[in-house]
Amino acid sequence: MPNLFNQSLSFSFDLVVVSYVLLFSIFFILFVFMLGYIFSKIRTSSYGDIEKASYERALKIIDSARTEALRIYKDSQVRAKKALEESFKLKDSTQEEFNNHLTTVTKTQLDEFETFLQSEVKNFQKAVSKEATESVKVLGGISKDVQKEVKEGLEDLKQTILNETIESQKVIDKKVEEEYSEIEKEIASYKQKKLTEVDGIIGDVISNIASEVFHKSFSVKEHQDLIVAILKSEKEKGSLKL
Amino acid sequence: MVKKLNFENIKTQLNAIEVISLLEDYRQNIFKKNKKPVDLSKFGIKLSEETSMDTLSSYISLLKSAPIINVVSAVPLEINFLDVLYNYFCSLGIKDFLISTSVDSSICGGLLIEYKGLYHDLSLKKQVNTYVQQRK
Repeated sequence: MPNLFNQSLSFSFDLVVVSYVLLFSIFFILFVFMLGYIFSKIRTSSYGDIEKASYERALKIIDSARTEALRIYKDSQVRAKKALEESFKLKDSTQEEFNNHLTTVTKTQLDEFETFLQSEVKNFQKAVSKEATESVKVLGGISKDVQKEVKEGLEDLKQTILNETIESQKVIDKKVEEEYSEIEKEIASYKQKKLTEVDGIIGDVISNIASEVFHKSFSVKEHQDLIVAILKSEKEKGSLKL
Repeated sequence: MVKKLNFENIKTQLNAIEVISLLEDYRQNIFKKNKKPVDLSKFGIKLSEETSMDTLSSYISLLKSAPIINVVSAVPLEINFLDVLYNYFCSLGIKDFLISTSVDSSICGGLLIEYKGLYHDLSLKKQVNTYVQQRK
């Protein structure tokens, strides 16, 4: 009984070890898949060759991870078997039965693991393909958005330049108008000044002519008669008040 | 007591200066026996041995302080024409004044009158200029 108990205990221990190894392998593979996925997400920002290269690198990483997992699994199996052989002395029949059972279990586990791996690889490939498609869509969308933004920016720039041109034209027009008005004022002032000068000259000329004429053609008597006439006229008008 | 001066016979500033000069000479020589006789009766001044220094001084002061009407003409005026001017200014109500005359040919004709700071341009030059201004 103790021997049977020990065998059962040993077998259970082996199963636990194998299960841990399997779980470790699965987590390791999942970790690798996640790394690949994250890596692919980072790489999806680029387009074309970069995406293709990242995809190939991800597949290589997956293959190496799978190979490494199988190697770890086989190593663990060998170590478990070795430990089992060293720890216990089982009967040949029991050992053979156990070996057969272990082989069956191992084969089953391997098959399941292979199936799981294939499924995961397919899922990963599908995910990568989907990501690639979405990346292309996103890039296309980004391209359209960029095109739209550039177009809008160009429209804004065009409108801004147009507005600034109109404003500049207004400023120039206003400046020209002010200058024109200033010049007109200067011309009017100059004209008025010249007219005044001309009037003065004309007045002086006429006065000089009148002076010459009166001085030469008028006698003293006529001058005095003119004075009397002027004084009489002023007195009649009442404008002379002394 | 200052006797009334006959400004009508003095008329011009030149006459007044002449009268003042004669009066001052007479005042200086009033105590001299061989002083020259001065007849200013036509100006309302009757000088005799009884004429005091104060009276002479009053005449001089009155002539110096008499208001002067400055008249500018284009040609020198005749002495007789001063009577016309004197009577004209008297007809305006001015009394006991002297007339000062001067010549400025640039006024063309007519005359300029200045009295007590008031200036009246009755020249032909002004009339011509006014005419030119109105024709603009």
